[in-house]
Formats: sequence, C-alpha cells, structure tokens
Amino acid sequence: MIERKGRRASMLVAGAFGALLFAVACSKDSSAPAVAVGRTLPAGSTTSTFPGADKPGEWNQPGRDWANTRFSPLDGITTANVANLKVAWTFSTGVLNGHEGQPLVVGSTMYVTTPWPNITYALDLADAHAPAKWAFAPPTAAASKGEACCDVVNRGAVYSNGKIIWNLLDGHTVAVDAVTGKQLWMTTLADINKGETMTMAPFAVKNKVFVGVSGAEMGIRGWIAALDISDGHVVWKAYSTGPDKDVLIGPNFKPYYAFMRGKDLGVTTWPSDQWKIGGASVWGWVTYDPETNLLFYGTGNPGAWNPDLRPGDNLWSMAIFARDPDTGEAKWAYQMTPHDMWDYDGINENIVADIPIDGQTRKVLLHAERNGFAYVIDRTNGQVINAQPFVFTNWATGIDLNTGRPNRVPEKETRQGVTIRNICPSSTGGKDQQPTAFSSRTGLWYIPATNDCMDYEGTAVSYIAGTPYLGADVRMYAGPGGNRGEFIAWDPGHGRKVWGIKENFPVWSGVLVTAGDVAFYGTMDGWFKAVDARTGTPLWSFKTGSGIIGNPIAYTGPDGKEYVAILTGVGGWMGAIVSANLSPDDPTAALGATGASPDLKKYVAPGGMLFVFGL
Amino acid sequence: MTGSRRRPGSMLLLLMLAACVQAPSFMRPASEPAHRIAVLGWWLIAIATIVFVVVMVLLLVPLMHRRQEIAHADVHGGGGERMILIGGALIPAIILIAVFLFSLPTLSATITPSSRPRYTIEVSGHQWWWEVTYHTADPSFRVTTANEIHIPVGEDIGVRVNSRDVAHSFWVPELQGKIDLIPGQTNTFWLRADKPGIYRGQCAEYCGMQHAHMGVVVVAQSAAQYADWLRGQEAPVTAPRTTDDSLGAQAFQRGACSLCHTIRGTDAHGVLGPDLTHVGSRLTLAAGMIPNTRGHLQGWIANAQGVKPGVAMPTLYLDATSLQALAAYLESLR
Amino acid sequence: MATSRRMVICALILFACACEANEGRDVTKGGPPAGVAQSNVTPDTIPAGVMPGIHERVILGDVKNPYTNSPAAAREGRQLFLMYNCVGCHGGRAGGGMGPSLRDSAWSYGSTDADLFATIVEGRPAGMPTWGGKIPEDQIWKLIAYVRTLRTPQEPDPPPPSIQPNR
Repeated sequence: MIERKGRRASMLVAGAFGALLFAVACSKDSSAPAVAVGRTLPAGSTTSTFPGADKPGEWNQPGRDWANTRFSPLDGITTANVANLKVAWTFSTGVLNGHEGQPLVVGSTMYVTTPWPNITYALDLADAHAPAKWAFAPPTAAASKGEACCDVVNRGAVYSNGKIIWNLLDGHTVAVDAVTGKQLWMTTLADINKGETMTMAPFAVKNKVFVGVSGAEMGIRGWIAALDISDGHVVWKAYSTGPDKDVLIGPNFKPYYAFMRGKDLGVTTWPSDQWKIGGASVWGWVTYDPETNLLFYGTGNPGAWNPDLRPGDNLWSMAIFARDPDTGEAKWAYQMTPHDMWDYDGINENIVADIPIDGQTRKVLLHAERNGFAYVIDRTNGQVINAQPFVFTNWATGIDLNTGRPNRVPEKETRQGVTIRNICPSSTGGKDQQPTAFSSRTGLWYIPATNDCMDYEGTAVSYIAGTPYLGADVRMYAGPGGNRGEFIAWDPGHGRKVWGIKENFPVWSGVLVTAGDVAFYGTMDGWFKAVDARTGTPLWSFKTGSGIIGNPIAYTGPDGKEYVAILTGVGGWMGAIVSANLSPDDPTAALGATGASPDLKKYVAPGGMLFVFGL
Repeated sequence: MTGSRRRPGSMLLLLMLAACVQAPSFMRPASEPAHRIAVLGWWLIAIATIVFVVVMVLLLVPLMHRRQEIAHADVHGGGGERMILIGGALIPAIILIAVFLFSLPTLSATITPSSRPRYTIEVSGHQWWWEVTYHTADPSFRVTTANEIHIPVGEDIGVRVNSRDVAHSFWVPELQGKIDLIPGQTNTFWLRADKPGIYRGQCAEYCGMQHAHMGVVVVAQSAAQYADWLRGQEAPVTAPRTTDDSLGAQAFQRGACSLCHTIRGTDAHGVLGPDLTHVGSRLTLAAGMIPNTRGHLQGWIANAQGVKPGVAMPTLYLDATSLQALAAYLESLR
Repeated sequence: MATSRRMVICALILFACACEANEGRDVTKGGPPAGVAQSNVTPDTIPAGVMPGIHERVILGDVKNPYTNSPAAAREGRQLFLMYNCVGCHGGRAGGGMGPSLRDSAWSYGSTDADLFATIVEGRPAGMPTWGGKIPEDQIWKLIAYVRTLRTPQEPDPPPPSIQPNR
C-alpha cells in the first residue's frame, strides 16, 4: 500500500515535470518544419501529460485530461509486448443497449456507468474478483427511453472533488460520494416531455461541472449548464439559440469571422420563432484549456432536418463555443456548417494541443467534424488554420479560410420534396461522437472514421412536443471503396492523412493512445485492436462478445501493472439495428442508419460487458 | 395602442370591401398585365365574332336560295374544291396564325415584370388551400399565411409557385393570367395591382373533390398599409388576454389542432394545415369558401368534413365549452 | 318552358346524388360499409366522461378495425404515419429507430386491433406518447390499417432497396 502511494507520488512529480518538458519540447519544435512523424521526444517525456490529469495511472475525466487527448502516459504496454495482451477480468453490466463512453479509474476503484437505467458500479480493483464496492441505481424514468434519438446511451461519468457525477437519460445530473456511493445531490435540468434528454459525460473543472442537453432531433432548444460541484445548483446556463443575453454573448465576444458578428444572431438567423425549437443540443465532449482559461464545446444540428423549415444561417447551431468557465461568457465561436442541410452536428470533441505549423508553435484545437473536415483551429481566437477532408466528402469542395465558410456544392444541397442522391459523408458523419486521440509523442491525431454516403429528402414535419422533429427521409450506404469505416492517423500540422486502416463497419469506438506508442480502438463487429501508433501496423486483436462503441482507457492496477479497459455492447445510432432489433429490410429505419449496416445482426448480438486486458 | 385601435377599423373596411367583391372576371382588369390580357381578350372576341358572323352568313346564303338555282352548278367542278380548301383550311390557318402572332406581345409583356420586384411571395398549392409565404432580402425572414395575399398597390411583386401534392393553377383574373403549380417544380411569375381592392382568385386546374372550393383572395393596399400588415403578420402572438381565450389556447395546444397548425409564439408548429398565427385577421375561411365569422368558424372547427367533405381537417368531437373557447381564441389572433 | 327548366334542375340534382352515392361506396370499397366506421365515432356513442378516442369497447377489447383490408384506408394511414411523426420513432418505413420496429412479428403490448388501438390512444411506459384526444379515432384505425399492410404486397410506399456495400 505504502509502496503504491509512493509510486503514485513519484509519478505525479514526473507528470508535472513531463508537462514542463513537453512545453519545452514544443517550443523547441518551433524551428522544425513540421511534425516529425515517428520522432522520439527527449527521455522523460514519456510521462508528458496535460493538466487536469496529474495521476498517470488514473482516468478521472472522460478524456483523461482537460485537453481531451485520450493519451495515457503509461508505457508498460509497448509495441514490443502488446502481442501478449490477455483478458485479465470481465464484468457484465446486465444492460443490452449501446455502451458508449468509458470507465473511470480513481485510486484502486473503477467506475462503470451503464446506458439507461444509468447504473454506476464501483468495482474494487484491489480484489481479483473486482467485486462491486457499491452500485448506484438511480430512478431514471422509463419514458425517457422514447425520447432518446439514437439508442439510450450514456457517455460516462466524471470524477472530481471526491464525487462521481453523471447524467441520467431523463434529464438529471446526479453526484454520489466516490467512496460510499451515497447520493450527494441530484439536479433536475431537462424535461423529457419536450424531448430533452441527457447522454453526455459531464466535465469538471475546479469547482464546477459542465453538462448539456440532448434532443436536437426532438425540437428542443439546446443549452450547456455549469453546476456547482458542492451542491449541484446551476451557476450559469447558456442557450445555443436565442437572444445574446440567453447565449451569454456580451461585449467580450469576438468571433474571428465576420458572418458571426452582429446582435442577436441566434434570433435573426432563423425564421420568426423557429429558434425556440431549433435544436443545437450540447451532447458531445467538453474541453478546457487552463492557459487561456477557456472552455470549449460544440453545438448540434439545427431542427428540423428539413432545411426548408429554417432558412438562414441558424446560429448558434453547428458551432464551437469558447467560454469563460467561471461566468459562461462567450469569448469566440465558430460555426462550421452554416444552415445545415445534412445533420452534420458540430458536437465532436475538441483536443487542446500545441503543434508546430509553418515553423511556429500554434495553440490549437483539433476537431474532426461530422461534415468530413478535420479542423485545426487557433484556440485563442477561433481562426481556422487548416481544414481538410479526412473521409470522402462531396457536399463542399473545401473551407474558405478567409470567410470561414464552406464552399458548398449546390447539387448536394437538400430541400423538401426532392431526393438528393449520393451525399458524402452521410448524416452519421465522417466521424460521430466517438472521440479521437492525440499523442504528443508521435504528433499524430487518431481519427475513428465512418465512410458512408446517403440519399436525403426533406419532408413536411410538424413540431409535436416530445416527438421527433425531423422531416427527412434518409437512406445511407457504404461510401466509395465499400469499407464503411477507417482508422486514420492524421498529421494536423499539414492537414493530411499519414496512414489508415480500412474496416468493414464504421469505427464507432473512441481511441486510446499510450506512451508505449500503441493505439487501441474497437470495431462494431466486436474486435478490440492494438496497432503501432507510428506506422499503423496491426499488433494484436481480440474478439469481444458484442460490438464495440465504447472508448478504451489505460490505467495502473493496484499491482502496479498497466491495464487497458473497454466497454463492449453494440448500439448507438449505427448499432441500433442490433440493440433495438430493427428491421434490416427498411433502410430508412434509425434515421437512415439501418441502410448502411443491414448486415450487422449477422456479426454481433447485444450485451454490455467490460473487458480488461493486461500482460 | 393606436395600432391596435386602427386594425379593427381597417378590418371593418376590408369586410365592407369584401361585401362588394364580385365574381372574378378578366373583363375588369385592375392591373397593367390584366389590362393587356383584357384588350387581347376583347380583340379575340371581336375576331371570333366576325368569323362567326361570316360563317353564319355563308351558311345562311344557300339556305335563302332556291334549290334549282344551284342544281346545275357542278359541285365537283374546279371552283368547289378550291373554295373548301381556301375557306376551310387556308383562311382559318391564316386567322389562327395571325391571332397567335397578335397575342405574342401580350404574352411576353405579362411574363416579365417591368421592374425587378422588391418583394417575393411564395405560393404553395395544397389540397385544397393556398399556403402563402413572404420573403425579403433577409434569408431568414419568413411570414406564412394562407388563402389571402396582401400586396402593395402599383408595385411588381415576384411570385414563386409550387405544389405540395397534385397540380394546381393559380388564377386571379383581374390581376394576371394563370400559372400552373407543379409538384417538384418551382414556377415563377409576378403580380401587380394598380387599384386598391380585393380580388378573388381560384384554382384553375382540376385538383380533386374540392377543386371548386379552392379560392384565394388578393388584397391590394397602399404601401404603408401593406408594410403595417406585414409587420403585424410577422409578430408572434402574445399571451391570451381573457379567460375564454386562454381556455381556447389550452384546447388548441392539448387537442388535435397543434398537430397540424402553427401559431407562432406558442408551442404549436404544425405544418400540415394553414398557419393560424393571425387567422383572426383573415377575410375568409376554408380557402375562400366561407366568411370568417364566429358562427362559420365554430361550424368549421366542429364539422369540417360536413362543410368541405374530403378536406384534410378531421371531424373533431369537442364539447361546447371547448369549441366556443377555441373559436374565441382563434378570433382573437389578429 | 318553366317546367322543362325545373326538370333539368331535378335531373342535375339526381345526377349529383348518384355521384355522391358512388363516392361514398368508393371510400369504403373493399372494407365494411361506412356505417360501421361511423358507429364508433358518432358523439352520442361516446360515454360521458371519457375522452373521444378512448372508447369503452376498446378498453374491453371487443372491437375490430372497421378498415380491415381496406387499401384506401391503408394509403391514408401511411400519410397519417408521416403526418403525425410516427415516422420519426418507428422509422421511415416502420422498421424502427427510437421506437420498436413495426415490420417484425413481435408486439410488445399485444397484437389484436384493440391492443394496437389502446397502445396508440393510451401510450406505453417505455416512451410511446398518449395520442388519445389528439388523433381522432377514425384516423387511428387508418393508422392500424397501414401497420397491418407492412411486409405484404398491399404495403403502400414500400421501402426502397438498401444498397449493399460492394464487398
């Protein structure tokens, strides 16, 4: 016990030191022409990490650190020994729906949060049987299952200030004591009767926890809220549409591009009253940069899917916001897809990174967007540095770096009453919520991608509170090449693909990359894979019981060894055909996703299970 | 305050004007293009009349003559066939071609407006009503109403038409020619009224059971009145003022109404039936079929299928209190 | 002269009536006579204190869809399926999504007409909203008529073919 504590403390010091070294390494890199793919950082940088995750063997935040890198500084598992990886233990969650999200590890306890009914288990890692220290089963309303657009998923919990905090599908945020499992507070935030649900993983910075709402398919009005960690009261709440005072836009709001400057754009870029049911939910991942003291997150699609119902840019849907976490005040924003016509939600995670671009170290956000473009954005002001398609993309020819707007292809613009064929990527995006990872060691950004295209027709739709507000008949299918997924290593400095591994199904799991230079991801047909983070060489794979849509994590067990954990259990939007037992003969089922994966039932069955691997 | 006082006044004026509305006729043109069409119409009537008279005379002449006078004429001789060829084919062909050429200038003059329209109206045909949407240079400006088009006098108005179901045809004879509404296609034309007034229009392409009851009203008013009207239409509704109104608002929200109709400013955002945000300000109900009065409104809500069989609006079985409250509420939406 | 005009008018009226009668038959062609459908919905048969739509006999399970095997009603039902957002949860061609597939043979809450009617009218705890008092009873029966045609040759607007990946 004492030994372990000592080790942790030393790692803590090493971590802080490593962060310093990392910063030095980056500034050194400023003379380098580009990210040297495959270069090795100076010794000691193996524990380099970002603030917000100062315990290398733990996983406290959804993306491990505030920067959302999903980079683990552990190097016990390396490219040399990963082939010996074996199952250490498993745990069934007893839930059959899609298991998105990731477990957390705090000290010698692992926390696993399930899809509805949103039970959290605290598993004792010190015991070989990993028994539950406690399980907290909240009274999550069953009716909320009918309001969740894309399976009744949950993207995990967050640990902060001795509390485990997670969102319930029926619109509550709950905090329990991490040690005892006793409920400390529960805050009601969303109304399922209006179609509001909560699926995202909360994000904690200092004494606040940030949560957002899901339901842009149901005609809700999106928001993000900051709760006080001590008692759960709402400190501030920022809407994604409506007048500036609701969006918390004030005199300090300075968007980089002109089209986002003006008064009350959250009202005037919509037809009268439409912003009240305009969607723009906040259901993805939140990121924090302590250096600029900015909180970053993205907003979802505008409602309805039929674009003819909402002419205008539809701000602030499809936008990245940078906010002051203390007051919620918006500092800048960037709308990636003005007047969305394809459901390319802008909620994907933003990774905070400092990378060399054109001989300078730039403070950037990495954002692989549903619309198929991999954005590298200056996080201090919202300027797009580069944006290149990472999958086959034909709705736009590129992003105009002067105006910030995409150069649209008119033939791919959707409208009511007309079927527009062969739009790429499909609504599920070049990448959906499954998070990317960034390794400062390799300089590479790992993107779990989807290669689907679609036919899209806008249809008349009435807003009926609590029912889907869609207005689109969509059918998806495999994109060029026939491979529906790809695991991509991207060079963000140059905006280009370094290597890719084609997969039969969309890569719907998140990515883990470690200091052992191993990248982990899972596939929808159930394979958990390890590849060389530099070259993409497959090193190891294991077939789990169900399909994988969760995000892998790495941690140090009480025995001091490195472990990798992943939740399996297919579902989510793309896997709903299995978890909700949909009919493969209707390619328009599950908002068109069934068309792209009608054969998934042949490969996997539902079933939630935690797999832990060790050497 | 003045605005709200003026509006009932102008409503009264409109209703009085509505009382004087005559059956639509192309012979009373109220716009420059309609005037051209009317002139052309009169010319065509004149030509047709001359042709008719000539043919009748030619028919009557042999009837007046005695049989033996023509008995010796050689019917198969040289003159007869040539006469049939000339009189039966050549002259009609010349007349028809001349009429065609004669109508071309009118056609081209009525297709293109003399100036670039500042306002564009979108008219969508539904079985059996007209959805009317106002657009401006601001892409997100949108005002939707139904079965009633307001336009400023003396100005060319762009009109885009399309259909949400079957083919329809938009025709306001006193203002313009016909334009077809084809599903999946947008046709464009323009409207102009040179005199203020209320002009009736009608669907001019058979579109189903209630084709005859698919009427439209065009209200031409001064530019100031029009701007006032458009501003009023853009505003969402405010909270109901009387208890009867709020009871009606509840019945609207909780019952079937909100599934299909929009009232901006409330949670009702249905798009299948007409937008009812300012239904109280309209002259008619059920696409020009019945006047917009409390009695007709109640009758329509209670038994739309009885008033206009086959219409998409289902029969709702409402108790008397809800029905009266609902009608009062809708009437208050001006 | 006056009598002949009257006769013409009479003839016209009679002709119109004949047309009307034809229309009436057309609507329910292949189904039961219109009277059956009407009997469920006339106001005087609605028990006092019960919302229209929640019919006594439905609760008792003693009722059949008056539009059984009516292709016209199924077509109308398909339109209503789109209009009332059923399509959002149950999929473009009822293959499911947020809600269960209606194309398979599994019925979570019973498969009789009365069960389906009750499911729509009353809602179900796992997310099905309550439509009683919103969708008129007559239209609910048309929706059920549509659902009954799924995966049969009578299905209006059947699913488009899915495009298989070329591998």
